[in-house]
Amino acid sequence: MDNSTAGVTLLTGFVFDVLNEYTAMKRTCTPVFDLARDLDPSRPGEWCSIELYNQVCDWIERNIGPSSIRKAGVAIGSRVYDMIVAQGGLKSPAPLTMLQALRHMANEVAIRDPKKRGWEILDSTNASITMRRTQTFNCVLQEGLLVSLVERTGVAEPDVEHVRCTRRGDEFCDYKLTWL
Amino acid sequence: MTQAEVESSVHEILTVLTQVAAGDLSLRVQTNEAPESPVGALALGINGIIEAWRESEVKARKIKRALEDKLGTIETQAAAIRELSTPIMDIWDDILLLPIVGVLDTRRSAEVMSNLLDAVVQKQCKYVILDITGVEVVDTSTADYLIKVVRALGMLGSRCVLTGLSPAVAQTLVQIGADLSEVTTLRSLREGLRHCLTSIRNER
Repeated sequence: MDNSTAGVTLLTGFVFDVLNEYTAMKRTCTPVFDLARDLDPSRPGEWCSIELYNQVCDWIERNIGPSSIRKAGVAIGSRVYDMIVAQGGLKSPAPLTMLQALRHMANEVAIRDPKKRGWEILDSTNASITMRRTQTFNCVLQEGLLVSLVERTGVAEPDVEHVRCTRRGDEFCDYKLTWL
Repeated sequence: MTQAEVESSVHEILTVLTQVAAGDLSLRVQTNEAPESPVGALALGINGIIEAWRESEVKARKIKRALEDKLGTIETQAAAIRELSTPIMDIWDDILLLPIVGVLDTRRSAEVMSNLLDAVVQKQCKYVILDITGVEVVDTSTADYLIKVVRALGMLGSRCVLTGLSPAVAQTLVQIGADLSEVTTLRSLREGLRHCLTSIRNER
């Protein structure tokens, strides 16, 4: 996988989405709030480097814990669901429709990558979808985000399995989402 | 049933089982055979197994979800507790106070050091009072950390006063041969504050 983050930018609203989950712990999380000190929370539509976003997420994962950043991902996923439904005029989207919309939003709207990386949908069945991330991101947060998006579609007991992971030496992070 | 019908039913069952094995537990074997016929009974049995598997998976996923949620909460709360366990107070001009309560293990000692040094740099204070009235036990590594904190504070231009040593803690420090010669040690926080105020006054 091409891990370079040069020239990749995303909407600053995503950084504040993460920070908002930790506002009650500002002192403990001072380093991450410091990282974002030059960003304006009243302008979530401005752009910042994806590297900054990754630094924020990675710091939280290391210093607060992986389950905490995953839980933050769940909360963010729920808000992303509302945004996608509102902006896309979707009514009761199925999991595949929702993840296609996520792919579109991430690849075309909310993240600018000169190399056109982002989400790919590798496979889908009646009860599963396998997603691939081709861009460097905090992969634990993505687990929470994906499972949350699928859960909001109303399917029963969704789960996510991180079947391939760049941290384990795989080329890409692949996530298999299943529901019952 | 004819041979062809049996083969078709077996094919249908194998198709369902393949998809179930791949994780789609919503599928069931569809058959028009009576439940008491061999193929009907087989389909009924397989559907029962899939249903039981699904129920078990539902329970497992509910537990997994609850555990993940609790773990996230525990991690966040642990960080909040760590933050609360090192309350650095700006009690007077040029004087910071850090009361330490409970067990001072390696991780907490490192956090104490990091937070305290950050606060000293930020406040540019001359004195730091480390009050260990609430510490009942110290060991060699804790004593080492205290010495390191004192040295690091010295490098930043602050002096450290250690207060609230209990007889047991003092005894332990002597027994383990901790070198506290660089530290001003006083019995109580009150004495520590008085010492700092007097020193600041004399420096002016």
